[in-house]
Amino acid sequence: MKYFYWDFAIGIGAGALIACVSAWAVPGNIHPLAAMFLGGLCGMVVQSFLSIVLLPIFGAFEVMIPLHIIGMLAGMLGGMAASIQNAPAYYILSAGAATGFGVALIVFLSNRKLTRAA
Amino acid sequence: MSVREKYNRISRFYEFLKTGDTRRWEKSQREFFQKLRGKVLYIGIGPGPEIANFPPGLEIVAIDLSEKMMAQSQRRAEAYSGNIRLANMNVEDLGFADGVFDCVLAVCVFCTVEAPVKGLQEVRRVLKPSGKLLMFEHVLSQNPVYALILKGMNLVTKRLSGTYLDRNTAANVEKAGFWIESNRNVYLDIVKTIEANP
Repeated sequence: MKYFYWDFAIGIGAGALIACVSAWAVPGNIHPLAAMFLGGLCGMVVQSFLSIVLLPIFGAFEVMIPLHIIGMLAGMLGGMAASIQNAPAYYILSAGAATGFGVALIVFLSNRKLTRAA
Repeated sequence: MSVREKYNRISRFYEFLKTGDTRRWEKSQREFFQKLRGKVLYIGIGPGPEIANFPPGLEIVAIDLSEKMMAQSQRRAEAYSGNIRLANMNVEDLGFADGVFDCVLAVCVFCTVEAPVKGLQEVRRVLKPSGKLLMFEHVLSQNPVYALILKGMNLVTKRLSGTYLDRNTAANVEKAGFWIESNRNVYLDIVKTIEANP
């Protein structure tokens, strides 16, 4: 139970950070599909660093499984946002945070279902 | 580089890397380890953080392939309120007579053993016919998304520490001749407890 809130906080924080970094790193003047692809790659790089930092504190699988999904999705979202001219920062931040929350929720529900069924 | 050399190399920071897992799995391990009884063979003691979750008063022989890992468990083994004897040994070639242990415990070991079925056959040999194999292991998920992530991570972990994240340990247990009594999920369908009889 003590990790319940941490898992969601990590999801939200990682989603927001990854989306922002991807939006900043991906050039704004490229095709949205290419921006989405590059954003996804950028997200995976950022999540790798985050995983290395967080896994000794919060557990390897419990960190790496959601962060891999968040890295891909929030990164793609950030990349697409970069291709939209004048996308406001709060929009990128909140969209990334929402993605992180959604993934954390799906993994939480999936874990509850699998551990109860066993 | 052999698994022994890899674990000797990472022994200095292995316990730090496992801190999160140790904390996360404490409750599940305490409950699961209540099933330990009689003379116990503990495979892969490593630095020994799980000793804190053992019920008191057990007679345990703990083995590990890496002498540097095992040296770190010495203090915990001495502090345990039972008897823990340490031995540097490979599970694929156990130096014990047939049928001497009531229980064999493995915690995140058969993801790393180079020939897991051979190792499990050795475990079956040293277990009494009425004995029990207790495993707390991580395996490949049946969920395609989680499995894809684990297979991706596996490319790194097998090179760094010889840890395979894509193993079907329950199937290996059956291949070694065990009958699985229970197979429960601890985290998703990745971290599991397996109870098997020889």
